[in-house]
Amino acid sequence: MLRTVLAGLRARPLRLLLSAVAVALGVAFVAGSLVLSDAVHAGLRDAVAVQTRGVDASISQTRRGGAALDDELLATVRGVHGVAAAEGRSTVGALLRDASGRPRETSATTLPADQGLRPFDLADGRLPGTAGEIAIERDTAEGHALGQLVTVLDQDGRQHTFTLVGTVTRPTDAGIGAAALVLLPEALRQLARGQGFDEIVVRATPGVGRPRLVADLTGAVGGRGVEVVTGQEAAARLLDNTAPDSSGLTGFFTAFAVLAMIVAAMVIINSFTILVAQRARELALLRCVGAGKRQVFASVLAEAAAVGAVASVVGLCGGRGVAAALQSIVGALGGHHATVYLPVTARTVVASLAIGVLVTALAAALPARAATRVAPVDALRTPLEGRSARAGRPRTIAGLALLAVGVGAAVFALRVEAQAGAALSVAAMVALLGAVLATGPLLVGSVMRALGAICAPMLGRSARLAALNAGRNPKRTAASAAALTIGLAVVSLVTTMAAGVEAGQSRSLDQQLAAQFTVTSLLDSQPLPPTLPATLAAVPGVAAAAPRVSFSGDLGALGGWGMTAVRGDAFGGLLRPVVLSGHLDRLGPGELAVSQELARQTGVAVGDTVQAGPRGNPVPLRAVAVYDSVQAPGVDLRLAVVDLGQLPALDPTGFSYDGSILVRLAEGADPNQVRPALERALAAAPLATLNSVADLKDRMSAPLRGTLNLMWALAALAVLIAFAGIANTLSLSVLERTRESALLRALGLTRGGLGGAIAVESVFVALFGAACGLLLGVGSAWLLARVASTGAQPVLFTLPLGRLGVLLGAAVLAAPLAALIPARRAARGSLVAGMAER
Amino acid sequence: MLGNTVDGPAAAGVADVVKTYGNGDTAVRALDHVSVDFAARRFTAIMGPSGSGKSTLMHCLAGLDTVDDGKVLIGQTDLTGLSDAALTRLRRDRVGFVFQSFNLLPTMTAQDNILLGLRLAGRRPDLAWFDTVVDALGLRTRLRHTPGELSGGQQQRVACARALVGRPQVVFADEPTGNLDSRAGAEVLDFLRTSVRELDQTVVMVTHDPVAASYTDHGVLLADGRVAAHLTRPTADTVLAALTNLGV
Ligand SMILES: Nc1ncnc2c1ncn2[C@@H]1O[C@H](COP(=O)(O)OP(=O)(O)OP(=O)(O)O)[C@@H](O)[C@H]1O
Ligand SMILES: [Mg+2]
Repeated sequence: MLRTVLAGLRARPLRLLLSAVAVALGVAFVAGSLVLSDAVHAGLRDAVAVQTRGVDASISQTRRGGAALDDELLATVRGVHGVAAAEGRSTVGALLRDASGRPRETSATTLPADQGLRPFDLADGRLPGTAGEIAIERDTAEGHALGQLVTVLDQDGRQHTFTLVGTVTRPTDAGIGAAALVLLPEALRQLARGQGFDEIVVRATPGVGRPRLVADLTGAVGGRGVEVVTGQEAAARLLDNTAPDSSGLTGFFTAFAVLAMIVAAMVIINSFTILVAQRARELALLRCVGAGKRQVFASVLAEAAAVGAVASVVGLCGGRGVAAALQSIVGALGGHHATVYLPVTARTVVASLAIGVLVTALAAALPARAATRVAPVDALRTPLEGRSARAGRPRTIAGLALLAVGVGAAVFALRVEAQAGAALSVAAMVALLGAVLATGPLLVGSVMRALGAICAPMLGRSARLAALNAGRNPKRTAASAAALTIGLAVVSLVTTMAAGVEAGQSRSLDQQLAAQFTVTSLLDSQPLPPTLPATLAAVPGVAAAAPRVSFSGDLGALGGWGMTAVRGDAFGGLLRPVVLSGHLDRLGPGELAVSQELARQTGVAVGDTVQAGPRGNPVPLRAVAVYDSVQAPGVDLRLAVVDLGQLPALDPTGFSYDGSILVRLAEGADPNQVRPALERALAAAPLATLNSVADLKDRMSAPLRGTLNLMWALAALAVLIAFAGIANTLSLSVLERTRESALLRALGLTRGGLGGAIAVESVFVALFGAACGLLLGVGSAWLLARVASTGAQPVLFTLPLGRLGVLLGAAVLAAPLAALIPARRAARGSLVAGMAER
Repeated sequence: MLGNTVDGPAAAGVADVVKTYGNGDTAVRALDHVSVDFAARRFTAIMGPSGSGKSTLMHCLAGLDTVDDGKVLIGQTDLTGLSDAALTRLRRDRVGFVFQSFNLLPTMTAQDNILLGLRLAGRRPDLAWFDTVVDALGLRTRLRHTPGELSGGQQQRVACARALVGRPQVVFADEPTGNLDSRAGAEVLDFLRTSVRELDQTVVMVTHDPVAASYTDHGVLLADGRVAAHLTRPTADTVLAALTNLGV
């Protein structure tokens, strides 16, 4: 039996190769996604390693108010036996004026005197030698020349100037936010006065063990809230602190790996199903000459497992390539040069190989079982070309049932409240996807006929032939379109949702904010000058300028909440949140407006009076309105709003943050003309930045767009795999139709005509898959938009026609490319040889 | 011309044609300087032992394969040197075929199969002629069936109809009855003869069967890639005798 398997393998190298390619592609995709999710962590580990390089021991405070890590302590540490070098390390937030004079948020760190303890390398120039000099990370330094003066603003908004003497680089940053400015410790102290170091790092003299060093240091300076750990431990802690931030990204890639697995499994199953179906005759012949059912079945399975294993290994290697490519793409989208990480973990290896081998074996087992079930003589008699897989009744029933479940879940999702609605919507989407996949084969026939009829006037015979060929085996056609359906459904869902959220944000901002500009502070903690609103109001063309600030408000029995204080007359004219009950035309002293969220959590209703502020000296506030509002930087109303005059009584600490000024222009004033005047008025306040409403919208949608780009890069690959699947199916079909193709050519179909028919067939399959995917994605987006939308933060259902058009266009254009190889094969073969093919 | 089959203008013919498969030691000369003409409005049989080059000759005549040397004529057109596109046009406009098996596209109905060639050529079928052919072959009630639903003889008759419906200059049939029992075979042969006698077609048929050859007006015997003999109005007996002479 083994010999027949081997002979079979040898006789059909091309068919087997095609299936192996499908397996390898699928596995590459899965492995790539897994490598990528590991790469996020590997990048972090590397960045942390750079940050703690050369550190043998690290001294830090375990609690606030412990002994300060000051120069005195540092001197003690340096005196401990076994300490080669010890450096105080601090990082403080600061703003650097970039080349255009705009302050940018960054941070500054101390320059260790000891070379071995520097977490960066000198790139250009030299390191600072005096307190008046600075070195800047190379990318951040862009636009500044060596020798120039640069301006740094500290947390209190004071300006400091330094001479730029050099630039530094790190082997990798990976987003752990390592400081970009390097200053001498005394210079750093000017930025953050009166603070000790964050950490003291110690390098051991050669020959001194780390545990020993740690013990000695603990003896010298330990206790009183100061702790000494080894460098490794410090690194592990740093990693723990940063890792949660990256878990979102890891989860994203893992979710993507799952999507990859599903798409890959579909492609693999489809191509093996075809392969075994094509061999049905050969298998029947084997049984006619005496092979047992079991023998035949086992031989098919063994062959598939062998192919699966070899292809999986190839795919695993290819997966690292996919991961490398994706990291470069993501890096390029993020506008920086990314370090590429290609860690291969046991999980990646096991998952990839398991997917490759198991799915392949399963994919072969199902059709092999079907093949061994028919009487051998029947299998021999039916001509291969005539046999078609018709979709059966169970499929119809399953499809209808899933459709019913999907529609039912969708209807319920629209009725219940948001949280449960979202879960129901997801269930509805999955059920509808299932329904589409189940009923696909039932639809293929009529869709292909329709496509053929529509395209026939333009494309002539090719269209009709293509429609016939695509419709002849509905299961196969539907299966090769399905991978594309899934890929496009996900992309179009995310794209449409993102567009809807963006449009919703934009509309609600337009509705709720009657101001044309906002002024915000670059430093959240740094309030804007109190005279600024009056200065701005005096600018010609400005109708009103109202200050607004966030604070942590004490609402007495209701607890502490994030609140906002606004000059009360801003309502109506400048701010128009959605009012759910009560009135909010203006807000006077002693009045309180509560958000829907707060009203729900505390039960406060319009008309209630709340005793707010310190217990000894409460301030009665009467709730006049319940509102819901958009969350935009500088416009956020948080959970409750009071008049600005109320602020001192409610927040005795005086710590407010996120201050802003809303500026409304006079009727008929042109924002573009007023803007320069406003900029001039702001010149005295270096931290103040002017934002137009368009800027706000941009900032609100920026994170969304970043995610969307990443999503597109990944989904492009899913779609690529789907097309590889279509190409594969077509190639196998073309092989199967060799005689038919030769007959058509003999009857007068030109080479171009035959190739064209195959290209058109590919387009039809792609169109079918893409259309199903787009409908599904857009439909789901509609549902989600309806469910997730609230009065103040609507998610509009808008069709991003441009992007969806790109998707559909790409699918239609990629299809003929997928058909290129099979079409060439079909058109090139010799007629006489083709007719002789069995 | 060499052959004596011409008692009217030739519909097709080959002159001094050489065709070799493979090269070196394994080279097989399938056609070795063959010259023969096929008269218009005649039914001609090509006969000969297995491997004598009958199918090769037919393929070359029909523009399905190329020759190494010599001329191949359909009407006045020399096929040697025609481009692939020109050959394709010639096949669909001027030549009809019936193969031994696999003549029909499984996805199409009998009617679509019959009209396939015309549609590929973008020609409008002559409905009266279509009816004539379909009725002569008794296919009227089977037009909506796919090949899988037809018997072997019916499938072969559909193939004959397809070959004739475009009124080609010449129809080539390679063992059209090879897969059929004698009754079904007789139906097909009857029709081919009728189409020559009453419908003015030209048919060239390869056959092994002396009985099938007896339906034809003329027989050409091939042996080892050469023309060995001509038979006029062959009967089963004369064909058998001639084949025996060749030592088969
Ligand atoms: N593709 C090919 N490659 C190599 N040799 C070939 C090829 N096709 C045919 N031949 C050889 O050419 C010779 C003539 O073949 P052909 O098919 O024309 O014979 P035939 O007369 O039709 O035989 P049969 O009656 O068995 O069909 C044979 O010796 C055959 O082996
Ligand atoms: Mg032959």
